[in-house]
This record gives sequence, structure tokens and C-alpha cells, in this order.
Amino acid sequence: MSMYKNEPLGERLFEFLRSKIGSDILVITDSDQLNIFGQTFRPIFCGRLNQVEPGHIELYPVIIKMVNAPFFEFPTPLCFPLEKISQFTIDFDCGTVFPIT
Amino acid sequence: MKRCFHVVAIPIRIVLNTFGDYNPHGMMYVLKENEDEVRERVKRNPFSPVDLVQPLVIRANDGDEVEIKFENKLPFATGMHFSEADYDVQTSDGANVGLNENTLVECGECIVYNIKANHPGVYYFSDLGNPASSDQGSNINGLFGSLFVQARGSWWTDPVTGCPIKSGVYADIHHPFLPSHREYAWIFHDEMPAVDLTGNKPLDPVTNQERESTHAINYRYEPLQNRKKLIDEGVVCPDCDGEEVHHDSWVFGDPATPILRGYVGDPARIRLVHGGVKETHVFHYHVHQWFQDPTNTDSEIFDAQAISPQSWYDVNPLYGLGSLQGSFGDAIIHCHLYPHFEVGMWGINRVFNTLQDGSQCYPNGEPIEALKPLPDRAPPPLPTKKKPGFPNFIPGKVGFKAPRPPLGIVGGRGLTKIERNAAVPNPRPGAVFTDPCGFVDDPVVVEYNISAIELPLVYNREGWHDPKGRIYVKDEDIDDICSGKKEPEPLIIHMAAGTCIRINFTNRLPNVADGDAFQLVTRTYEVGLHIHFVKFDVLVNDGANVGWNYDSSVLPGETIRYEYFADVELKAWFFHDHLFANYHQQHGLFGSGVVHPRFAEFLDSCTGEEVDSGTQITVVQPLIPDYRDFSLMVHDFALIFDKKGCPLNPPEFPGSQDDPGLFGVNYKCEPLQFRLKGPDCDPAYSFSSFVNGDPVTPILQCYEGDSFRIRLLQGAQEESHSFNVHGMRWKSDRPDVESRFNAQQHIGISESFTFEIWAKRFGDYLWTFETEEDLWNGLWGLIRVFDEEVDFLIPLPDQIPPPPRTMALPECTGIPPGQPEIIDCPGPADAPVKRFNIVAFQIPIIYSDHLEKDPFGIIFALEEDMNDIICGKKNPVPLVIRANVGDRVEVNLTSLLEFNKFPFLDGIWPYPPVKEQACYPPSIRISLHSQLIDYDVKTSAGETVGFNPDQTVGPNEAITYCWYVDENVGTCGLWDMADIRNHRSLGTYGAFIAEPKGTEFLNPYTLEPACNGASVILNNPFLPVTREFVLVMYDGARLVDKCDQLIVDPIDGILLADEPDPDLVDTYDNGSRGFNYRTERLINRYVKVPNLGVLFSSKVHGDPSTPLFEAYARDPITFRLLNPSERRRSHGFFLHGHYWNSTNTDITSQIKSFISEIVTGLTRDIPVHYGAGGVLGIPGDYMYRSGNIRWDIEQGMWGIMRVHGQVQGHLPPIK
Amino acid sequence: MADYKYDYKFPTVNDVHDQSLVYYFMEQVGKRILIMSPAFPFIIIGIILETIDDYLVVDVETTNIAELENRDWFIHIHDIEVFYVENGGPPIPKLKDGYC
Repeated sequence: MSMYKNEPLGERLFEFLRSKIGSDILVITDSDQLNIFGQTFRPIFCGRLNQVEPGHIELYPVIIKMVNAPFFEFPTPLCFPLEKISQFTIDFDCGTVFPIT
Repeated sequence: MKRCFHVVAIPIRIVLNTFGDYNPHGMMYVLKENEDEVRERVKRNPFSPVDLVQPLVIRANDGDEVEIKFENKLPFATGMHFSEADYDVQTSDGANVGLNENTLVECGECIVYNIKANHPGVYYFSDLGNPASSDQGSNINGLFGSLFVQARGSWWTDPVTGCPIKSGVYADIHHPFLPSHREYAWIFHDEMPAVDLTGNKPLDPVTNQERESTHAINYRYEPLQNRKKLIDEGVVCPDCDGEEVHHDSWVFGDPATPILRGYVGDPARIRLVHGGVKETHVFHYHVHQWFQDPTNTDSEIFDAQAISPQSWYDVNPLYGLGSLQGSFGDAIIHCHLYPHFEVGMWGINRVFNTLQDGSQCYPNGEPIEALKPLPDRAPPPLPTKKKPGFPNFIPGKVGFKAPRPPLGIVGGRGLTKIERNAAVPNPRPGAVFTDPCGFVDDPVVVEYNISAIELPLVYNREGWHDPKGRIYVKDEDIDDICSGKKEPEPLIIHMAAGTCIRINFTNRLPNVADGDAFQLVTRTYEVGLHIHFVKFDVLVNDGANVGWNYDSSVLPGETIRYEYFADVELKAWFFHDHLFANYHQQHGLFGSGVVHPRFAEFLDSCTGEEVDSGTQITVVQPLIPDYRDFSLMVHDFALIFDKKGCPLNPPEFPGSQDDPGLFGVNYKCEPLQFRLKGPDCDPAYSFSSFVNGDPVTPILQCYEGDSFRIRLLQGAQEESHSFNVHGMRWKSDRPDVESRFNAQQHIGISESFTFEIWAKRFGDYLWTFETEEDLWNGLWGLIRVFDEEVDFLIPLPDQIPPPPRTMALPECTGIPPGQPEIIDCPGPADAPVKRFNIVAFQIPIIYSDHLEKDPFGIIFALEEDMNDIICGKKNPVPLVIRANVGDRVEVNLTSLLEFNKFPFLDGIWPYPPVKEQACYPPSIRISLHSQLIDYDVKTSAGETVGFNPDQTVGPNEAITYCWYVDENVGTCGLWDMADIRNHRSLGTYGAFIAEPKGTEFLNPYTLEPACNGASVILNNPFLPVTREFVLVMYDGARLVDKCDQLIVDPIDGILLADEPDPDLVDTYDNGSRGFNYRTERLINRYVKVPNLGVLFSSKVHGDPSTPLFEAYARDPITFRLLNPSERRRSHGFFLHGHYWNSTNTDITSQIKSFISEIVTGLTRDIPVHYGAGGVLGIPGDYMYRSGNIRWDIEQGMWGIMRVHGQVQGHLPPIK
Repeated sequence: MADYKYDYKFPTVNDVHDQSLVYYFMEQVGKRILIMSPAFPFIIIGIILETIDDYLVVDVETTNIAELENRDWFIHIHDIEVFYVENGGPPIPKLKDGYC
């Protein structure tokens, strides 16, 4: 039973994330690597938290941290199912240079 | 979509540089629409390079169909053979192979090739109509190019104009979902016949002898010798001197070789292609690193890549141009083989930090061509008066050497005002224009004081020595090393990831190096510390004198300060001198840093005290297993003398780069010629410490159960080496657990590999550089795994301490050890047992239908086949045996060797030779060593090593080995280790194949069970029924022709040979070659029918003598490839019309149609995608072959896989 | 039964997240979607036709592999790692088939 008995399930995270809309967020998802037309990359993303839904979040603008182009801005917003996110951190400066290998 | 190109093969004069060196008989592929213009421009500019004279590079997308209308204007039949592509082998092979339709065309004719691009990559194309290796051949003269296949949906533009382009070596590639990136073709090629303006072979102005052969990129090279002449003749910088100054654009302007231009942070891809014919080069790219396999983010990181002819790699620099730290300036790219680098195989990656719109100039007034910013990135700022951008803020003087960097040299100058404007906010020594340590707040800083010194180095107990050794040392060790208290070894420094490294580097070398039999007097007045892997500011910290950068070396007696950042755990980073590397690198001037996991601590393995350097240390880390860290640095061109002062293997004249000297590993060698101390001088005990004592080469020490890492590097100078560990194995890509197990690694200079190994059982393990000449001259040592405690090795703190010593350590007795008393076989007691009774005996081997043979052959064979072989019913083939994972393998080996049946009873082989020949009478003992599978090294390694028992077997004796197939390791080489000098050339090798559990093996023609043989059907209830083809690639064979005349390969096999040149071949090029004791030398065919265009045709010549593998279209097939033979020249393996994952155990690995850098000990498993006939399942003859035009293909290293479309009476279909 | 500190009941918070995603996709029928997944063929672009339980039916116009296009694919919603639905925001670019 939740410690917060009177709160609907999922509400805390939902509200927390909604309060962070407009913040820059670094999101890392589950898989070992993703692949866009043959270009593989570790699923590390950084962008502005644009929308929060009960099952997913949307970042826009959003950077995919590709090893050859660590500041590649994807042409569309990207959404991440909450159940596929491994970890995230809020208020992350997306211009930060850090190793991703 | 379908893309159409009309390509013409034309003769063309190729001018290779602005000095007018040229190839009068060049050949190239060109688009039809450019043909007239190319010819016209060349006519108008006979002495200058013409931009359009470049290897043809065309582009398509993954999934495209490409139609090539090919027109031949050369005076012999030619074609375009595409690697990687899917096509109909009857219409588009660009060759004339086996029973296929001929898809070459004669002069004046056209043909249409249709290919499909089903995976991204480099589709290398070249001619197979004229495979001659001589100067008359097509490939050597430039007839090659590439189709670059991009991600689906890509398009490409000219980097200067931004307009779409149809062809060209440079393009900007764009995609709706991917970052735009720069694409640069970097096509190495070698041996192109070149003459100077007078039409003569160019001379070296120092030696006055002919300079090295051509080593070029994209039809350009920029030899030191040309530029040096300008200095000598006072045209430029009269007081300049030294080899590195010829890379200096302040003195000479930019080179004729490629300058790859981009802006800081631009994503980029260098398409590294080898269009040459002979050498395995090492591509090195300053400042940048990349994934060994760009499709696998778990892949190992490289910054140097060996590459063999006709193969390719994608070099995608991590973090884009300038790397993580965003360094701008000139990053030199070169072949790291120093003689090649010297003769001009280099270019530049120029990373601008300001916008180039075509209105700017370099400091010498040459205009800077415009460069479009990539459309999805913010353009860099426009240059201003205060901030003119690279290179125009550097206070250099045109016509003079580049200036030294600001702040770096102790007591040197500060920043000019304009330099200050370009600098980072906190400029400091070594970090002026880029801050390599700036990502981290308050990083850990380690500081080293390092000097370069000269001292004599003694290589072994026989007194082989280098009187002018030059090495890097920590300043605090100088006295101990120079006084003999401390043994000199390559400097290996250790640090944890996340460390900011500062180095105070002092030049303590003599200003002038004296001359001797190897080298001429040379003024070596400046030296540097050029580093790999770590992050740094290339302008001031490269330890080099390149392009428009500063000269970041240091003069005698001065100290320069460098700064680097180790961003993540890395392999060993190579460091060396870039200023006079051709003079003193081979004297030992190289070292390495190892970046360990964060929070690692480093201990002296003997005392347990903290250390920060050493070739053998102990590493402790709180969260991962503690480990031993061992560094091995191999080098060739070791310029050493014997104890009497006589030079060992001196060149013909001092200053020659023609393979002078011998070899070392960590400045030591243990030649086998001195290890015949036992009774009968038997080579079988050359590796035995009981008989000959321990070697002086490194003995890597640990306890049973320890994990350890071997850092393998090569410090000098030109040659390939093949590192092997016997009885151990490692994952080929350390970060990727899905990578395959290896026990062998090819290495070239500057490459770096880490092997992580677990010491499973105690005993002595042999490590080798396994090619015959390396091993003969002493490149081997031991890994000694102790079972009980010794007082000179601390236990790993996180391991159960070893038991106290109960047995005295063994000692050298001079007496051969006995055979093992008990053979303790690994694996479960109830494991199924496969027994092989194997005999080794001497028998002539017929190598071809042309009756070429080895009259002295030695083979391993199953006992039951021996009589059939002796009476001629069966022609000998290399032994191939199989067992399944989970099986125990019992090998009973008997020797039937007879001393008098050896060709040279003193062991001195006039051919094929090795350097430093000496008496080494043949052993009549023999052994059988296996790679990769599990066994107790004390009983079943098939060799007598260290203080292990004897595992060789004498005449009419037998010995038993017991192996356990614990993993699906696939192909394992088998070979004799009793006498590597007198046995291997004669055929003492074979293969063991580990197959999946539950597999049955069937003869493909009878469907009877068959455990041995090169071609079988694998039948496994859970896997597709598969045809397996084993190719045992060999070299170094000594054959005679049908008249018993010695065949001296490669010389005797050269087609259209020019005047014989006695210096043409190196020792390690000698010997005949092919697959599975067979060869199909093209010269025999050419003598019969003197037509180059039909050399591979079975219609004209019948099928080749090499294995003819047969399958039906779409049959699952797997090749098992190995090279257990002996020579140091690397080979390639190509199979027309097919491709596979480059790592067979990892489905995400890059798809390729070749195996590269093949040298002794390599094994690969090749499950071919889509089965026989490729994705289209097209019947026909598919050639397998080496990629070396010089000298493999024409010497017989090729064969055919025949894919049938109709059922054949002799070949039952598989289910 | 072990004495757990918390008394687990269904649905769990994971179910809520997963089910919310299903509801979201139910509302997106008829729109273009871009999907990334570590499973072959890694990227899918097409029109959402319907949802069936926790499967998305997509008329696929573009993937890594041309041969797999122009057909309906049933995609397990809970294996989608990254996605974007055209919903008034920037359009999903169309792949060009080159210039020549």
C-alpha cells in the first residue's frame, strides 16, 4: 500500500514532472542501443520538458547524444514512455560536454 | 531508387605532387561526363596535380539499385568488381571466374553492371582483368575506386558550393533524421610506379640512393625528400633542419595530399579505404578516436587502425571534429609505418574555428577555399581583426619554422595580444586555446617529470645491444637507470579515468646523433612527446610540428609543459617522438600511459608500495576485481649489434629503410639460435626453462585465480606482428561481452590493445609474436601463474591468498623435463570423449595440378588415413578435426619423423629465409598445439614451455593430450611447436573446429559420417543444416616445380615481370602460398595461354587446384578461416558476392565482405549471410581470394566456391 | 506468506503508466507516428490505424528496410522506447529518395 494512501497511483511523479515543464532534462532509456537508418547510438537524450502525460513525457527541442554529434538536435519532439526510462535528471544544462563512450 | 553511372577506364598521367613526381602510365576510372575535361586538364598541366585526377568515388543509398555502364579504354580486358554488393555473378561480377560468363570487356567495349546496395558502407571496386603485381598491373597504377553507400534517405552536396554532386572524394551528407556530416574519402595506395620530372626514379637527397616506393593517398603523396631539397638548396628556411619540419606549412605551404576541412564539432566520417596492392598500413588520426565498429556502441575505441589491401573501415570521430574538447587547428593523419610516413603518406584534418566564406587567406597569402557550414549546425563566427581565427592568430613567419607555443616552454614567452584573444579564459602551459581538463570542476591532477635520454640498451645475455638506445624516463629514475641499478624498460605511466595529466618534459638527448652501419649522422636537436587517445589542445600540445600549428617540441636542455585529460577508462595510450621518429624511435623512444578505472590504485607487484609507472604492476579498485597490469611493447628495426660490435642485419647502406636490424619487446629479445643448450641441441626444448633457463624477455607473473590485463602496443617501426598467447584467450572487444574469443591479435605500430584474461590454472604459458622471423629472433616470453606463494609477488588483495610454498621453485638443470605423469583433463568426468590418433610423418605433398610439390612435406594425419596417403590413394591435406561443445578430446600423437628427410640438416634455409640465420638442426620431435579450447597447459598445450613438462614426442613415441571444448570457440589453429624453424614451412599445421553441441558431421558427397576434412555438412537438430568449408591459408612454403627446380616465390610468380630487382621482396614475402596445401599460381596459366583476361577462367584452364567448395543456391554455408603458417606479411580474405557480420557472435556488428590483417594465428568463423549465392541465391562461381595483388593472388591464393542451381549427381542436396 | 512492509495490490504504478500510454495511443488514431525500438527494424514511421489491446496497428510508410514498408504492422506498445505523434507539432520529415 502506498505511503500516500489517499493519492491515486502515479500521481506523485506525474505532478512532479508537470511542475518541471520548461526545465531541461537528461533522459536515459532502457536499451543498449538504438538505430536510426544504420546510425547507432546509446539512448541518451537531453531537451526541454515540453509535455507530461500519465504514461509518457515529451521533450522538445531535444538532443540525441550521438557519439559523432553529441549535440544533434532531432527534427521533431520525442516522447518517452515512463516505463522505458531508466533514469533522468532535471535541470541539466544540455550544453554540458561530457564523455558518452 | 535506381542510380545510373557511366564509368570509363582510361590511361592517364597521374602527377602525384607539386614537385612533379608522376606516374606516366597511370590508370583511373572516371565518370563519362568528366572524361574529356580530365584529359584536357592533364594535357594542359603535365607537371602539376589535377584535382579531377582522383580515385572515382560515387555514392548511393542503402537499398538503392546502381546501374554502371562500364566502358574500357585501356589496352587490355578490364572490369569493375564491387565488394559488399549484391549482384548476379553471371552479369555483374566484373571478372572472368570459373565457369561464369565473362564480365570483363576488351578495349573499346562496354558492359552494364547492375548491383544492389543492401547495407551501408564502402563498396570498393577495382579491376580483376589484369591482376599482375608488376608495374604493368592495373591496380598498382590506380585502377580502383569506391561506391559509398549512405543511410537510406541521404543526399549529398559539395562542401565548397553547397550544390549537389555526382562524384568526388569529399561530400557533405545530409539526412532528415540524422546529423549532417562531412564525408572524406581517404584511399591509401602503395607501390605506384612514380618517376621525377626527369623521368628517373627519385633519389633520397641524404643517401643519394633511390627513395622508398610510393605510399600515397588519393593519388597524392608529399615525400620528405622533395621538401628537404628546398631547404638544402636554400629555397626556403635555410636554417631549418629535421624530418618533422617537412610537415610544417609555415615553411612549405600546404601539402599536395588531402586536407580534410571542417569546423569544430562537425560530425564527420572518414571512409578509410585501401586501394593499394601490398602493404598493411596503419591509419592514425591525431586528436581523434572512434569506435572500432561504428555500428556497435559497446565497441572498443581506436585511434589507429591497421588496414590490408582492398579492405575498408569507417572512421567516425567521437564527438565530431576536434573531439570532446573541441580542439581546432591541424590534426595530421598519416600511415604510422614510419618509412611510409616519411615518403609522403600523410595529410591533414584542418579544423577551423571561424567561418570560411572564401574571402580569407592563409598566412602565406594562399586563399582559403570557402567551406559551407553544415546546415543543421550553427555556423562558426566570422573572422575579425581581433579574432582572425586559425591559423591567422599564430605569430609565425612564412618561410620559417612554426613558432613554439606560448606559455609551454619553461622560461619561454607569454601570449601576444592576438593570441590572448583566441585563448581560453584561463590559459596555462599546454592548455592555451582549448581546455582539455575544463569539463570537470577541480579534476584530479597528476604530474610527471619525464625526460628523453640516450643510453646503451642490452637486449639479451649474448650481448646484443643498441649502443645508442634512446628512451623516455621519469626524471627521478635517471640516475638509477643510467647507473645500472634499474633495468631500462619502456616508460609506462598509470592513471585513473577522470585525471588531468601534466607532464614536464625535458630534452636531454645529444644534439647530434653519430652515424654507424645503420644510420647517417643526424642532427636530432628537438624532441617531443606526441600522445594518443587522451584529450588535448592540438595547437600547442601535439608534440609535433604540423601544418599551421605551433611546433610543440623542445630544444636540448629545455623543458616543455604538456597537459592532457583522460576522460574515460582507456586502453594504453601510446606516446612517442614525432620530430625525429625515423631516426630514433626504433632506438626505443616510445612509451605508454594506461588509463585505469576511476578510483584505481597502483601497487608495486613485489613490495606492495604505491607506484605510478611500470610495465608490470598490481591494480586495486574497490568495486571491481583487482588485477595485474602487464605492458608489452614490441618493435622492429631494432638497430642492434652483437657483443663484438658487429651490426645485426645491417642495411645495404646507412640510412636505408629496407628492413634494417632486428626486433625487441620491452627492449629485450631471446633468439632461439641461442637456446639449443640441451643434449642433441634439440630445438624441441628451445622454450624450456629447465634446459635453457628463463628468457630475458618479460615473464608476466601472477597467481592462479588472478585476473590480468595485457596492454599490447607496438613502438616501432614498419612491420606487422602477430601476438599470440598459448593456452589462454580473451574477448576480442573488451567492452563487449558479445564479442568473440581470440587468442591472437595482429598489431602495427601505434596500435593499442587490451586483453583481459583470467589465470585459470597454474603453469607457464607462452606468449609469442608468432610469425617465424619474429619468434626465431626472440619475440616471446612467458606468463607464469604460480600455485603457491612467492616472496616477490604480493597476492591480489581481494583474492584468497595463495597457499604457502611447499615446493621449491624449479631451476634450470640443462636436462629436458619428462613428460607429464598424470593428465588431468578439464570438463565433467562423464563428458563424451572424441579420440583422434594422429601421426606426423614426412611425405611429398603435391600442391597443384601443375605438379608443384614440396618433396619434404611433413603432415599430421589420422592414423587410419596414413596408409592411403603413403601409397598415394590420398593426396595430403591439412588435418581438420572437429568436436562439439561439451566434448572431451583425446589426441594421441605419434612422431615418425626422420632426420635425413629434412631439406637443410643444419637448419639454415637459403629459401624461404629469415633474418639472422644460424645453425638450428631440425628436431625429429613434434607436438600439436591448439588455440582457444580448454586444457591444462602443463600437460596438453602441445609444447615444452618454461618449467612445464615435456609435451613434444620423439620418433616412434606417442603422447596424449586432453582438451575440453568448453565454449563454442569455432575455429582453432593447430600447429607444431617442437621446431618452428624447420617444420612449419613443410606443412605442420591443421585445424580443430569446435561445433555446437549435438552436431553431426557428414561427408558432403557421400553423406556418411565424417569427423575430418575441409568440407562437411553440419547436422544439428536445432540449427539449419549447413555446409562448412575450412580454409587453411598458408604462406612460406618451399615448393619445387615438376622438373624439381626450386620455385622462388613471389619473384617466380610475377606476371609481366619488369627487370628483376633483388631488393624487391622482404624476407617475410618469401615462400609460396595458397589454401589447404594447394596453390594455383597464375604464372602457370599465363604461360599456357598468355591472356590476362582468362586467368581465372575454368573454361580455359580448368578448375584451380585450390579447394573447390560446392553448394546449392541458398544452402546455409559457413567458412572457417585460419592462418597457422609463418610469414609476417598480412593477407586479406574476400568472397565475391557475399558478406557477413564482422563479429560472428554479434548480430549488431558491421556487415563486411572481407577479413583483413590476416597473419599467423588468426582464426575467424564466417557464417555467410543468406547462404550460398548471397541474398539473391544466384548460381555461379564465386571467387575467394586474398586482397593482395602484390603478391598473393598471382601466387595462387585464390579459389572458387561453386553454387549450383540444378541438382548434381555427385552432390546430394541437403535437407 | 512473508511479512511484507507494503501490501501490494493491482493495479501497480507500472500498470498505470502502461495503461495510460495505451489510452494515449487510442486517442491518436489517424495520425502519423515515428517509433524507435531496439528491436528490428529499429525505426518505423507511418499512420496509426487503430489500437488492439496493447498493440498499435500502423500503416508503415518508412522503416530501415524498404521491403517492410507499405504494410500494416502490429506493434507492441510496451516495447516502444521512443516515439513522436504528429499532433499539431512539427511534421515528421519525409525521406527523400535522393536528388538524381
